[in-house]
Amino acid sequence: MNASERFDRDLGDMMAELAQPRFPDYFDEVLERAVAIRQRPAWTFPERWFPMGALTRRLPLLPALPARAIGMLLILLLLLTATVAIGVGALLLQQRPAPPFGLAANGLIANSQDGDIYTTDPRTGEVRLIVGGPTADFAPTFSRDGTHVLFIRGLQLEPQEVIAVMIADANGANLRALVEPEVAGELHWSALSPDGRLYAVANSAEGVPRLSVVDLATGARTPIDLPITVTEFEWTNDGRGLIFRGEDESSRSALYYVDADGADLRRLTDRAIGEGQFIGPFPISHDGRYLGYSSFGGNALYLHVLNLETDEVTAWLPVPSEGMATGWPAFSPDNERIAFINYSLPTSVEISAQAMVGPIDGSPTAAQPVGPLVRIPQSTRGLTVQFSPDATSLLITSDAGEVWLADLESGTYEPLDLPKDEFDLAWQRRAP
Amino acid sequence: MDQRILVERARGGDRDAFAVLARAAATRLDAAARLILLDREHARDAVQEALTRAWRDLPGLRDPDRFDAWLYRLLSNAAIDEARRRRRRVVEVEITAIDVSDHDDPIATFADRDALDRALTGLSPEHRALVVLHYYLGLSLPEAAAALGISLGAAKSRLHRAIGSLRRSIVETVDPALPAARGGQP
Repeated sequence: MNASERFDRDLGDMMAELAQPRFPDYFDEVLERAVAIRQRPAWTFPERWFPMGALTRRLPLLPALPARAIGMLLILLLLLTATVAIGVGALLLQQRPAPPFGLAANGLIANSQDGDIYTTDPRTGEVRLIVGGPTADFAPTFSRDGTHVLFIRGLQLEPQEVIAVMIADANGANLRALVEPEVAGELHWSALSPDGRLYAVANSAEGVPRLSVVDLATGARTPIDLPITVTEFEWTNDGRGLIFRGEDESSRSALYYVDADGADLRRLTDRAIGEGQFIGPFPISHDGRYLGYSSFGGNALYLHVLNLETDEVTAWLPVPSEGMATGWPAFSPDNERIAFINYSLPTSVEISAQAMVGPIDGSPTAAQPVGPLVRIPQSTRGLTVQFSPDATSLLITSDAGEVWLADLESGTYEPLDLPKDEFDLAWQRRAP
Repeated sequence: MDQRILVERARGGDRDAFAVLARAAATRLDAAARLILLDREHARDAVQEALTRAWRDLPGLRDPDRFDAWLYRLLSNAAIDEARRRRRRVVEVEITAIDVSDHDDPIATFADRDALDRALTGLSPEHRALVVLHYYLGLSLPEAAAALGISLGAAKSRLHRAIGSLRRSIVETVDPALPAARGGQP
């Protein structure tokens, strides 16, 4: 054994001698503070379903809302997918509303940063603060007609977390509470119906999960009793029902449909696919025909497209090879394409993520890479994608805060200098 | 009780189970944090942050058998974050003199902890974290690389430089007359 090998062999012992390990006298105090916070719900962790193990680096949290921001994320991501065409905003309209679904003109991109709401014009790069001040505001999303911006306002953290859903004109004027302040509790998800008349919320009160629908005109709250724990949901495009991810007693998940009044509960997905662990977003296409979703099983992530009219899986983009994963779908407003993320494992410690765009009918061989191949050493979702309202480009964001805009015609892409916080960016739809 | 059972219970919100896990790891967490940060108070802050994140994020841990490595990752990240925040180094690691007279090869014995202490001070917190994860906490190099969010190639390169620097520092400290190449440094 040479000196170098002895060095390697003994360095650990030497370091132990140097540090003189001993039980820390501050342990009890540190432990007490650690367990005083609330744990994140398991399903909010991508690592629980992501086929690659290692992940550790924390998500950036809003300074004003340290641990709770994750809980807020649930609400907000909900709102992001909420498809909120606010009918009640007729008196507040400052511009011609865009159609709630289908092609529209590209508007501003909204995001939150340090508790304030900003918009950025992707054409000029102009950034505007639209809701500022000392309040903790985050996770903005535009109404489906593009006339309003909605976001979450954290009002109180202790002893109970209290939030309000706020609404304002798209330029930040006429700010008001859409939903009066309420105790968030273990809030799983909330969303407005596409016509803006109903507000659905799933939470756990005193450990009992519940789903309820609030009529915004009357304030009446209708509880929906289900034999399944609801974690996330999407309003159907016609606003008559909810598609939700539910977990049964064995914590196995599936996607279900239920009418807004609690009738016609039925399961949409077959648990046999991917062992029944359905994760990530499950968007509905603009024409309401398709439901995209991802399922995890057998150490891989699979992408599916379900035809809601026939209840058949009309497209299944299989995992191309061992060690790869495909998921996180998004539908184009022209109802012709689907975007998703392809993951691969080039090394044991890195993950490569690539946005792909293919035909909505699901031929995997026709899908083409779009935007940069991104390496993510510690994974969360890695990348997320959304089509521009006019369906000509793809907005790609990484969890590291990078943003790219890819032209779907030419295949070129360029970075966008957009502030990116832990919530997804929201792209405003405008009247064509 | 089996660690896996404890992790599963803690993952379900059992604070007592988490306390058992944290208590079992506390000594190594504290020592590792002090080695990375070279400061007792900062180390305490890093351990606090690591345990807080561990409790909060434990429901996301897929494999209970990976709890220790996962916790070490949290600790190293918390320590590096702490170092970046503080941007100052106060060496408080206790040093105990050891007689090195019986050893004819200062590199082979590594008996001079003061030399190692000074050598560690010369490394960045990121390099110290890698050395501590790999040599003190026993993580494999891929595991340590994943913990620090760097590629395996970067970890190898970084470790190569760190060990070379440590070796040179120790040689020069223990016996300035010795040629640096004696330790087989890069």
